[in-house]
Amino acid sequence: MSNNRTRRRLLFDTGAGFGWLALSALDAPASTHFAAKAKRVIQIFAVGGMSHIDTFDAKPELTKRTGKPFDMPTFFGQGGNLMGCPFEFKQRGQSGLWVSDLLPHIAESADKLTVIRSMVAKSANHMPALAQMNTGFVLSGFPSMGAWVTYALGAGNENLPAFVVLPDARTQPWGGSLQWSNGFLPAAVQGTPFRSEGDPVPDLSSPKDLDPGARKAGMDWLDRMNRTYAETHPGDSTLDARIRTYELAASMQLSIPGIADLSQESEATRKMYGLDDKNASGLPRNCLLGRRLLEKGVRFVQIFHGGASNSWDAHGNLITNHSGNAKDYDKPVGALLKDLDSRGLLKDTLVMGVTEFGRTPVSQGSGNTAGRDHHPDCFTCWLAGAGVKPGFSYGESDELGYKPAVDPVSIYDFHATALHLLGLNHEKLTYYHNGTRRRLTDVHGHVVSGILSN
Amino acid sequence: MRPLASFATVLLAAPGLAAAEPATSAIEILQRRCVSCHSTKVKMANLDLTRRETAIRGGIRGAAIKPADLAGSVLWQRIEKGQMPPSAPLPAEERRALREWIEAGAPWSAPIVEKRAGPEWWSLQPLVKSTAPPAPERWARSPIDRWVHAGLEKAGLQPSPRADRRTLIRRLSIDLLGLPPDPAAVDAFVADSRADAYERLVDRMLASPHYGERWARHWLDLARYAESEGFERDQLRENVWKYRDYVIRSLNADKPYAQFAREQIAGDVLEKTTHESMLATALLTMGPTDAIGLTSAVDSEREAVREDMLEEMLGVVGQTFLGLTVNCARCHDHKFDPIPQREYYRMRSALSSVWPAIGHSPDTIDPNPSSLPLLTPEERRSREEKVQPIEAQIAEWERTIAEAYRTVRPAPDPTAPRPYARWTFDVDARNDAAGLHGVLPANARIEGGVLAPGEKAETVTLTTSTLEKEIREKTLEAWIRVKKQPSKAVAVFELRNRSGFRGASVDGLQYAAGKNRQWENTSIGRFRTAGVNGAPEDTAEGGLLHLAIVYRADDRIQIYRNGNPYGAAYLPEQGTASSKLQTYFPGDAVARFTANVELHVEEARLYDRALTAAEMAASYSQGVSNYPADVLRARMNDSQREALESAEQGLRQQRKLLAAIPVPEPAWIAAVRPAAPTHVLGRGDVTKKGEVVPPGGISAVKGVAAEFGLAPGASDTDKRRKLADWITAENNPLFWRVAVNRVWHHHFGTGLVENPNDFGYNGGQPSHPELLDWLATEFRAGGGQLKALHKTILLSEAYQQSSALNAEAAKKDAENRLLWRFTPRRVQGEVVRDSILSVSGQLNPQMFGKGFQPFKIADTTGSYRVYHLNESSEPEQLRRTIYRMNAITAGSPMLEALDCPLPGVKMPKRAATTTALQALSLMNNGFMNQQAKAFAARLRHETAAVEAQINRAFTLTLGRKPQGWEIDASAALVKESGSETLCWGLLNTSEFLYVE
Repeated sequence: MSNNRTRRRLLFDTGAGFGWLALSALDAPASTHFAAKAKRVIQIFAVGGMSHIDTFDAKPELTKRTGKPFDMPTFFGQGGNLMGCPFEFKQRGQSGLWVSDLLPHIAESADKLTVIRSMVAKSANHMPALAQMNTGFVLSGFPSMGAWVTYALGAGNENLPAFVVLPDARTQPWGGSLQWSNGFLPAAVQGTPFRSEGDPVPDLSSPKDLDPGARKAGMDWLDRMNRTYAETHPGDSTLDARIRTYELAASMQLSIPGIADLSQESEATRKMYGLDDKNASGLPRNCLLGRRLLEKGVRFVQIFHGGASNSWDAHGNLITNHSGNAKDYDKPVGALLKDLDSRGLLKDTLVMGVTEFGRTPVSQGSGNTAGRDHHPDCFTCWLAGAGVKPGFSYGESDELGYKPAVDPVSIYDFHATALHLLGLNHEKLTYYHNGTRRRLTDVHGHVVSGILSN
Repeated sequence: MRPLASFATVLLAAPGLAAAEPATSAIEILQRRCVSCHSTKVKMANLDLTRRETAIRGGIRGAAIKPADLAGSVLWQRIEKGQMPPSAPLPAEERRALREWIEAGAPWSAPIVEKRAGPEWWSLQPLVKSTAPPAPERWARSPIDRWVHAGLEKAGLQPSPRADRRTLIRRLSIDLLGLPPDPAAVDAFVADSRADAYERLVDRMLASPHYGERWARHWLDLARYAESEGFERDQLRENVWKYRDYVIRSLNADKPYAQFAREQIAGDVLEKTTHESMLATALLTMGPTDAIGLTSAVDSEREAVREDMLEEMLGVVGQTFLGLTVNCARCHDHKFDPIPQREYYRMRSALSSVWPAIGHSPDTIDPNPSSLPLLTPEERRSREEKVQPIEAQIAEWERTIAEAYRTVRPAPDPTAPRPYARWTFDVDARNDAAGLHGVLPANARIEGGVLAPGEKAETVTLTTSTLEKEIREKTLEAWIRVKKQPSKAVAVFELRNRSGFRGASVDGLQYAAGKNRQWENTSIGRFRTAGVNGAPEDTAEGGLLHLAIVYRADDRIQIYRNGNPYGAAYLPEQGTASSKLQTYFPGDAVARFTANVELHVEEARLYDRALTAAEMAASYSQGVSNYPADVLRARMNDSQREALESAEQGLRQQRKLLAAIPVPEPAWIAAVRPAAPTHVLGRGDVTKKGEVVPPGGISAVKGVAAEFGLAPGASDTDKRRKLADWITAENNPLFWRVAVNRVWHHHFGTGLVENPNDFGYNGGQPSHPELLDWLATEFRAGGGQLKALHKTILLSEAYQQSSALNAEAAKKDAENRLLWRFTPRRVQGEVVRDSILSVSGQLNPQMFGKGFQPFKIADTTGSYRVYHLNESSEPEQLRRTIYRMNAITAGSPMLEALDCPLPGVKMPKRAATTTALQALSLMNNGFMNQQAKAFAARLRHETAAVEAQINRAFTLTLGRKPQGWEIDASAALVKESGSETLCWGLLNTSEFLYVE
């Protein structure tokens, strides 16, 4: 089958560093379908379901109707009455974008944001909904968006993984590594989680009890063995690739600890991100590290805020839950937006603020301890940076934030749009697996052209 | 050797992602958006859009296209209104292109070639056995070689010479056993001058138990073998490993392939069902389970989760046994293969009763993964025959004993309200009336007429059996013995609907700790809970406290304490289902008591009506009616006491008898549950139920009838037997073709059909069609013996060829599809790990049984599991990799870097990537360095001389002694850096990690 011999296959058969040895060796541009606006992506995932009606989607009518009954099915079947937002909304910046008081730092960059207030997900259940936001599918086993992007574009720096994941220091998202899996794509494109303690990358450092001189001698001997073998076994490029990957591994051992060392940043920067705050999620560290990784050429950085044991999942105590999470989330993310902007990175970086679903306009429980249930039928995600209209909102929810009223955006559309910004046609970015040419967007998805800047 | 730069050149020129323009030409849009339904072959609405003349002729709605006449073109009208394509309206730019094209007269250069398979597709045709063409000399012996030779000749290529014996034995050993050969075996084979030395070697290896361990892994890749449920909670599934052992045993025993398949499809409902065949059914249910989704309160969400499970199951069955991507036809007719949507649902019907082993009945769900008893239908019957009379006896004795106590218990005041159920906790947790009986858990005790936590327990919860009638209006009453001023929140007495299906609900008496020391109603999400501002709890230590809560038909809730109203009656927050009086359902609702070290439960009563304030006061003044067992015994006369004692003895005897009946072995096998007849679902959506279909197969498969002759409501046994019959039929060509191709794929690295799980249009054409059919017919005629098939392939010259490069041949056939050499390749991840353990001398050869667990389990919130890697060098953990516990989120970074598949994901063909992460793992992983040390220790143990140690190290890993520069360099390395460094290096060499 000639169509199986695509350049992708060749690449993988050839072998590469984290990504694209051959490409980077030639310093060739990554391959896009058309000119890209964004060269790299940083995604911040608010795990658990950030409430749209308490953050970016002001609903005065909902507030007015607080306490009134409203009939809607909810995941736990415990829907209460309508409950307005307990936080204050204000118009921000030149654009007058509405952002609630939960997110004052992010609100300072309102004029950089594109807010999509008509997102629709398929599942009301965390793991499948997270999986859909990350992979397009509610079932596990599909490649994540970072993996697809890596597959398409490769790494911008052969000494670093193309797709880095920075999990919350306290907890893993539901599904753990499934959320940054390569699925059926080659293993090389899977997300590499950087740990916050010990080696950032598994097996990065040599064993402690090892004599460095001995390792050096061993590496030299091994290199000679492998070169001899490759020379006597011509025709198999993976043998050469192996030699190169050991060299890469050695150079990564030198470079990664430096990148992960945040003490190289100025005091002002560290402070802006909130590194001196008591922030249990480690988000300040991850946001700053994320920016450093982007600078070094990492293609896709995915940051998780929250996970299975600490999240935005405010079934009860909406006020406590969202105030606490927002306090954690707002400062470092706000700092990231400003920092990327001031360093000129925002113009070709796509920043994505996502969550797996929103929360119901009706309460779950009552009184001070009331929360909101899962709500996939309507929620908000935001974008900033390369190729999107700044200070702009797209789509509208109805007066209660219950369903999209104008321009619903599916996750397929959202993914199609993100790929488009990266210069990729979501219908052409395919990989043959088990009978189908698989896509991130399955058989759906339209680019949301309304949010694209020119 | 091709330099990297030349690859880069290829990369920049090749069209994988290129040809990148969006579809702007109208023909391209038709091809992409329309012809999958409107083609010569499919022709929905009788419309064929592949050619200009047929498009103009149109379908049932008239001319699809009238050149230069938009209004007269039905195609344009339908597109403009957004009616077509049905999935989503066309983007504006595509509409524009179509409009301009029609206006321009619809120029059409060449017919659109349909990219799909029709019923004439090669793989669906009956097997044809043809005669192999002639070939010279050695290549004439096996039909395999004759076809391979003919293919090469046609391309102007020559086969490669035979590989040398050292290479061959290593190749065979890695291929068949997944371990490198022992140096002594290498020497013996090299020295074996008998004509059939190679054949003997093949026979010996096929007889090795390691064969099953190696080839089972290939099968587990297809079975998406996983030992946890995945999704949100990823709980471990105990006993799945029995399926892994089943596969190993089946392969080692050379079980006929059709039987192997039948067992995995229907092993629990076969004419002759055995424990072994039942274990096989794990294949069906191994897929990840969305346990949370299955408990959603939204009906359509639950049904969609179930529908996804069935699609996954069909995908595995269709692809594994038939290479058919049946699952692609759930939402619409298959886009590439002749599989109508209706036939997807026929196959779905055949599997619709199969569930993973999670506790589940039509009304309730306990989503925890659990094992089922491994009993054949016959054993189940005979066990029930034995157990049922004993259980009946036990129940009888228990009733007698309870009655014996009851007769001597003073009668309650007849004027007092009659409870529906009353637990006195005198001697047990039974209730006076029917239903709602409790059994004392191990950490509880009943002592002095109270329910209390056991010696070491802080708190204990006792749940009763289910309610026997529906209860709406109700009163819950309890006497609580206050052992200490209560400081902890506790729900002392509750009524709960267990399932979420008819409304999850809880009501009951709960102590809310905190400074107000209040009693309140318990409810889910505190929906029905309100502070009523009662008196702070101040009962003296040792005192008895009376509590009650009344749920009235007018939805009001009133709490009483010591006979008096406790705060005001209240209405729960209005406007929701939770604000109404809650209904508790028979067969679902249970009573639940919780006692802790502070509060013990003395007596509880449930009334099926709302007591009045006066009744409440009376009940309080009447007081408790419980009497500890010793008090009651003292009240018995001699004959009553004798009757009690003989009943107690009878009970002990029956319990002993019951205990003597062996407990069935637990296993992860398919659970069977009643299923409603299957509907075709519009676009696969559970809310769009269409026609009901009977079970059946895929009719495009020639040679075997796809009609099962069963009604839509046929039994699971009939349906699955028929499905197994159809799949494994002698005349089902796909079944045999797919099997031999898999074996070929693993021996040669690529199948005769390149995509082992897809024999449809996208899977392409076989490289040697006659050879594939010859192998399939031979395999079938020989009874589906895999070992015979292996032997036929392994004895071919094609397999024994050298892997050396022939530059000329590589130019013509870079992928080696014509087999001008043996394709060298990196060994699979499991083989890397097992080979390392083997040469270091650390391999623990223990076969079978529960896998080793290289991780710790953190229980986060109840049912969620988080796995933390915890690999060690304990012998238990040094077993072969196939015995590694395969939890979905507990992967090993090293094995993943070596392309081992994710558990739960089917992987018919593995990648072999080369990445820096892989290099890091092989360099630095704790396992590598620990094994390098063990390897060095083994060498020192075996021989003292350094030179001999080096020779031995090379022989064990590479099957040869060091040569040329290696001799001095290796000696220097050992001298300077120690033998561990050499061992580490050898384990990292390409030569060790590749097979030639």
